[in-house]
Amino acid sequence: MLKYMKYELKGTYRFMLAIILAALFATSSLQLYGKNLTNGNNLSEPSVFGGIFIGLMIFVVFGAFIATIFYLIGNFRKDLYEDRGYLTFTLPISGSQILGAKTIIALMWAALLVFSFITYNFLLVGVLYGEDVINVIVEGLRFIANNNLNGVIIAGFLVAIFSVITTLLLIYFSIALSRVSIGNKKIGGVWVVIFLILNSLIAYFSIRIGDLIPYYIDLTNFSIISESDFMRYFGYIESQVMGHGYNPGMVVSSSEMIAFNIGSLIFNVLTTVGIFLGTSYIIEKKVDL
Amino acid sequence: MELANNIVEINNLTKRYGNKTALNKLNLNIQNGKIIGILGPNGSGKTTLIKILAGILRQTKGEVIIDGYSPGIYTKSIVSYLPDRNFLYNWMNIQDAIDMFKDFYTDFDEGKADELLKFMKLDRDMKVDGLSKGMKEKLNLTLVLSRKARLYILDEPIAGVDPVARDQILDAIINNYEENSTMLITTHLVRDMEKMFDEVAFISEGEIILEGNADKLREEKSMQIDDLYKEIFG
Repeated sequence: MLKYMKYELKGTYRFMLAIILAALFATSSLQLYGKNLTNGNNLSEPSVFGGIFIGLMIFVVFGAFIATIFYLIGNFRKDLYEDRGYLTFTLPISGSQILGAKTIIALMWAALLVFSFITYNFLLVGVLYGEDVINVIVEGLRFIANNNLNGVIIAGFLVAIFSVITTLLLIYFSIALSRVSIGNKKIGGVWVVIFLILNSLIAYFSIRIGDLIPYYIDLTNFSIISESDFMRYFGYIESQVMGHGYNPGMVVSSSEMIAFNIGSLIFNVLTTVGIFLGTSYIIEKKVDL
Repeated sequence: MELANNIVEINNLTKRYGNKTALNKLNLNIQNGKIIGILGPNGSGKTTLIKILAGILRQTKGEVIIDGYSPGIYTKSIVSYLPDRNFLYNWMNIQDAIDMFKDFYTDFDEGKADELLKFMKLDRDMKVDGLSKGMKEKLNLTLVLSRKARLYILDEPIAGVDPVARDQILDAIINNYEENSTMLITTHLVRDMEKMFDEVAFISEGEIILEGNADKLREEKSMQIDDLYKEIFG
């Protein structure tokens, strides 16, 4: 898989670095323009051209994120629909190795884009406005530690990553399924319909299973909490227990804890594993070029 | 290790695309160490057969065995397949393509690749995207022939290239063929290739309608394979 990852990386890095640089350039322009408009406490109105410029740069920033999503999805789709599949699918490697490599590289680029965007903006604020950025970070970490938020933040971070992985794999699965069931490139966009249907079904079953097993696990300390405990302690269970699509389980979160419905959590983990294995099987055994 | 006599065994192979039958209960055994020509006009089922052997197309019915295994990861490691199209990634230069073959195929011989690149007048720093159709064909063939594979499968290796490139490609195939390997070549340009075939199989509407030793067929029919082809499909 590592070997295939190497070529995935080689094949995507030019586009992705250009996208990241475009996003950073646009955000730098926005910050510099904003700094220009503020003079001490006085805020001046932007000119017409300034307004257009701001709009354009915001478009570039959002465009960079959207282009990344479509590029990474397209990178998987091309192997199923274009001649390059003749190379990919004659390599002596399994479908799970191909899928694993593509998923890891896609996640890596998405993470790099988000991380570099946030870090760069943070540092730029420090440079432009003379803020002691390091001090702000230290203060932030101290606040997290003082308020016992470490567990919540780490668990929340892991949940976000899991959610992205599940979504990405479900998109890949939908593309692979549309390729073997329809196979016609002209209506290849049918994967979007498959994705929406599967997404809804997974969310529906996740909530139904959650209803059947009304117990939660607090990921900050791995304690088991029943739904009646929530009612007793918080008294507003209905407003706090939320079904987040097919995101991992029904989530209950506060500043002190982040808990998941155990049934939904198991269902979502098994579903994700199943989607990975199913997609691997389809691309190894079912795709006809 | 003693090698099985037949590198490829195909029994009752059927492939249907909806209502259309591309291969119809096709039977074919291919012996080790031979060069076999699969001859037939466009649409006769040659490419379908080749794709199933290469492991990128699934049969509807029947059995395909390559070196004792069904098409899969193992067979892909011993089969060197030249598709009838450019299969390299467009972002690659020739160096990347060589690196990739070296990484994935333990039988890849880089020295041989260098010789072939020189023969084909290709440089390692050339971009795949910028190559002409003929040059892409030469590069693809260079990569495929640089492997010491058990089975080479070449799908229409000289179709659509100019006569000079055609001669170069034919020379490369003849000069770089591994004695102990088997080579399966599909073509409808029989005259250019018939000299290299040990065996030929004529395919029509998804069935093998005539097969045998090329020399014996010439003797029996008192004509060249190209003339026989024209007689059958003309």
